Amino acid sequence: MPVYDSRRAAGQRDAGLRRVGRITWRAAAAGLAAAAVAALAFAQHATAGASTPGTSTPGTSTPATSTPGTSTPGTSTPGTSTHRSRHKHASIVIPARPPQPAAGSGSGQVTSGGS
Amino acid sequence: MTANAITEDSFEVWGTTAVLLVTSPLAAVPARRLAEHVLADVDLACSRFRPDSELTRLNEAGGEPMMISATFADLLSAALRAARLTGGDVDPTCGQALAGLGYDRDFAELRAGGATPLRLAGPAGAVPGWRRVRLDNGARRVRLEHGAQLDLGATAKAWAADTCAEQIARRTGCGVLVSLGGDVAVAGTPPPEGWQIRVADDHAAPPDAPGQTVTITSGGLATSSTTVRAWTVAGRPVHHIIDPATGEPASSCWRTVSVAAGTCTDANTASTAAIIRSAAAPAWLRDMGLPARLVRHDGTVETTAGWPGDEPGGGA
Repeated sequence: MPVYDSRRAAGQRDAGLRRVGRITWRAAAAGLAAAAVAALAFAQHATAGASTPGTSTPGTSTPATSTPGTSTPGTSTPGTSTHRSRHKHASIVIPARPPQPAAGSGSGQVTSGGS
Repeated sequence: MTANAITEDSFEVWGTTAVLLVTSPLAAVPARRLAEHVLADVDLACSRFRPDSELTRLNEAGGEPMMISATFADLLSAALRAARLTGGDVDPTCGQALAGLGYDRDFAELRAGGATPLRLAGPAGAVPGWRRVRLDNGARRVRLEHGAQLDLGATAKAWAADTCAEQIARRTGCGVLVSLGGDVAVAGTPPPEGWQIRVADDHAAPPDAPGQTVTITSGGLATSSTTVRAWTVAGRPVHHIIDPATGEPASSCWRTVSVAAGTCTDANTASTAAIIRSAAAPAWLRDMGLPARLVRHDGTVETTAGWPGDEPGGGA
């Protein structure tokens, strides 16, 4: 007749609990990491949306009709992509320096007026 | 380098004058070539008077979605951004309002008396509004809702000036000024004395016309005026700056507004909005820190945010 070894059983129980605990902690850590990655990706997406204000406002963006398969982000020309970067600002951009009074009417003068 | 080293080139485009100034004579030919390429691209994208332009096809699409070019997507983005930043004062859906005033053809033809106004009397009503433009920039797909008809006149010329200046400066490595009918963009290293710009009611005014001469070294400067692109409909004087709230030419206390900003597109956005905002414009411009010169119908001038005072005898 087998002898019930309570000490050995308790040891096995503790080992099992430790193992379950390790698995639980690893799963929690993996979930946390995944959540962080998702949050980062969402933040980048939100920033990218803000960089093209004309399309990011609720009234104009059409995420429901977006067709990723037809998106061609690589086809923009250098000139137009540079222009996009100019318009990342969420407000009208003030000049680096306000206009200065002109010393004289030298060559190379143009006129800004209605047209 | 002195001002005398600046090389100037000019040509006609879109019924107005394009002026290119570069700080190296060697850059003049490539600058012209680049500018003509950009302008042709913009014209094909958003001319209201070309049956083959993307804008015309979109206006005639009856609300169906349309795939568009990168250039047209950028132009639309700039127009929608202008609308958003001005609370809808600069609205690209004023195409039908302009056509209703007879401005459905090249302006030279219109001024010569060739207009056939679709609407001779009665209030036009508010324009459909920029939120009716459903642009998916990633997919380069756009759709107009509720019969909206586009006109990108408030931003496209300035956008083209910015793009020309940027490309010329980058490709040639020299300083450049691009003026398209008075919408001025500069890029690259400016001449030591800066770029001299005369601000006046009319971009075609002679150098001694009433106005003020200033210098800028970066960004853009644009002027909006109710005095130049103006005509009559059934004896009623009208102009091209539409108030989206009424669909009618803006009734403003300013005849001309000039603004300096980080880009010509932003400058023109602000100057157009200032005309529409009328008496509220100076406070709005000051709040944003935008240097501006506003001229009332009687010629008196108000300035904001560091715009220099007029020289004695400069007039408006």
